[in-house]
Formats: sequence, C-alpha cells, structure tokens
Amino acid sequence: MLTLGVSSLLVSCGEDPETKLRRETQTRRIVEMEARIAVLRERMRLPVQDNSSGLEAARLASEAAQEGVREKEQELALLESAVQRAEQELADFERKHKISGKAPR
Amino acid sequence: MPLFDDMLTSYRGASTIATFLAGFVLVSLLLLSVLVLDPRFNGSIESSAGLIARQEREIARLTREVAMMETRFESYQQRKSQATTLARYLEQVADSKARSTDLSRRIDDAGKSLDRIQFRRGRHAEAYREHVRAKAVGEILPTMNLADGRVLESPRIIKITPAGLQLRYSAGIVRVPVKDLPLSVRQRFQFSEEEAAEFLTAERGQVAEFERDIDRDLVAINEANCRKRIAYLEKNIPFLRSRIEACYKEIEEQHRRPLPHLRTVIDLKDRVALDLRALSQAEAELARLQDKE
Repeated sequence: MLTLGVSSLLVSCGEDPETKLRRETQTRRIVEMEARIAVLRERMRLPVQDNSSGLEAARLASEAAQEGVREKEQELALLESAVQRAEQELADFERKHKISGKAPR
Repeated sequence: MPLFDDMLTSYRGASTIATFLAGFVLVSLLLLSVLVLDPRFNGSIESSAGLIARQEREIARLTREVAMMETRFESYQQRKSQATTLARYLEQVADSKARSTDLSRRIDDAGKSLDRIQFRRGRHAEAYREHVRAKAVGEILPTMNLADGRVLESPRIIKITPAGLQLRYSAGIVRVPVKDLPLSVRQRFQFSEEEAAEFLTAERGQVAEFERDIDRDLVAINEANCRKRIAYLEKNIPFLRSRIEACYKEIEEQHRRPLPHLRTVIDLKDRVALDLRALSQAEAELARLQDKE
C-alpha cells in the first residue's frame, strides 16, 4: 500500500484526470478487496470441525429417537384412554352391582 | 547582515552556496535513487500506465484470493452450519431420551393403574357374586323355561355353583347347567362360561382323582386277595396230595384184606377223584395267580 501510495504520489504530478480517476478507483477496489479478505479471515478465525460424516448418523439417531417418542406417546394415549374407560366401567359396575346387606352363611 | 553580504559578494560565499546546492542535489538524487532502486518501493518509479497495470494485476490476484477466500468461507459456513445442525440433532436425541424415559414411567404408571382397576373390578365382581349367590339359597324362583325345553314350576334354589343351579321342584331335584338357564338368571347370579368351564374342569379333576383313588384301592385289595389266595393254595395243595396218598394207601389196605369193605373202597375212590379234580384246579389256579403276580 505504501509503495502504491508513494508511487501514486510521485506519478500523479501532471497526470491525465481520467487516468488518475481510474487509478484511484482501482486503489479503492484493492483496498476494498483487502478489507474483504481481512473480514473473511476474521470471520474464519475460530476453527470448526468437519462433522459431515457424523451428521447423517446423528440425523438418523435423532429421527429414531423421535419416532420412539411418538410411538410411546401413542401407547400412552391408548393406555390413558383405557384407564379412563376402565374407571368409568368400574364405577358403573359398582353402581349397578351394589353389595347390600349381609349374605346368610 | 554582514555574513550574507559576505557570502553573496565573496568567492568563499559563492563556493559555500555552491557546496550546499551540490549537497542538496546529491541528497535529492540519493532519495530518488532509493525510491527507484529500493525493492520495498517496487524497484522503480513507475509510469502512470505501469502503475495502473500493476494495480490491475494486483486486482486480479486479489480477485482470485477473494474468490478463494469466499469459497473457503462458504465451506466454513457450511461446516459451521453442519456443526449447528449436529448440535441440534444431539440436543434432539437428548431431549427425546429424556422424554422417552418420562413416557416410559408414565406408561408403567398407567399400566399399574389399569391393573389396579381390573383387580378392583374382579374383586368386586367376585364379592358381589358370592353375596348374591349366598343370599339366594332357599329362594323360590318364578316358573323357569330352560333352554332344553323343560319347564320348572316354582323351583326352590338348593345350591348355587359356578356350573349352575341345583333346584328342587315338583318333580324332584335337578341340576341345571349354566347354558340351559334363562339369560336373566345367568345375569343375576353372574354366571360365566369361563367360570363354569373352570369349575367343571376342577370337578372333573376331583372325580377323576376320586376314581383313581378307588382304582388304587381296588388294585391293592385285589393284590392282597391274590396273595392270600396263593398262600391258601400253597398250603392246600400239599394237604390234598397227602390226603390222596392216604386214600390210595387205605384202598390198597382194603384190597389186601380177604374181605374188603366195598362201600369204604367206593367212598375212598370217590374222595380220591374229588381230591384229584380239586388238586388240578388248585394247581392251575396257583400257576395263573403266580403268572399274574
């Protein structure tokens, strides 16, 4: 940059305005690109492991676990409805078949 | 000023100024040569076109580098995204495991609740059944049309078993199985096919056990009788033989007499014939019993 700056300073005397504009544009572009590179380097400062190999296995494990949870939820729903039904049936049964009085021996 | 006057007017002054000027020129040339020759300043002083060309080369290099860096950044982002996804998957797995454990516990609880309810229902049903059956003994039922076509008028309940009712009516006592009872009676006394089948199976088992006991006793009695009979025969056969021999001797004795007593001889011969028949029967029976034993 210093080189380019000094060179620009030295060569700018008595220069064509169009050439000067082009040079300045290019200088700006270079600065922008160097800034972009610096930004990208900064963004990639923290190393990240390549997990592509374990990703599929983790996805499958996650899906299997979620499927297992879904199955258990269905099973639980069925059981809970069966429990409610059984409780209702028991209440009806006890109401219908009351044990009153003492049976003779 | 006398000094400047002297410098501007004297040869010494002129030479001094010339020396300074020469020094200035030399220093300027040196600085320029540094700019021209020093590689840190790119080796030369460029023309405007050269500078632009170099900038273009630099731009091209930087463009490639930016493209490469962006590719690397894209890959980096992808890896980062994968890492995030992986972390999310792992978190989901952990959440699912925790949820699964919780669900398993709740399923166990629900299963236990269901078992408890069914147990309570079974216990209540059993208590009710026993109560209603015990209470009904001695009760006179209305006229009953059985499934097999019989009609029992005003039957009185004598006994209630899981297999059916034992009833007394005008024609006597009858045991009516569950399948022949009217539906209302079956419902009242909580009869069920399963209970009846279990009871009948148990009853058949008891009967079979009783019959087996009787058979065992009969076998034991038969064996004892057999042993007693063998003992009797073993004792009787020598007795018969000795009696036959005695009879033969007596017959010979009678024949040796000048005047044998014929009546006695005939009686003895009859006795021998009877004893021989009894002996052969006893020996045959003994052989058969010993074979059997």
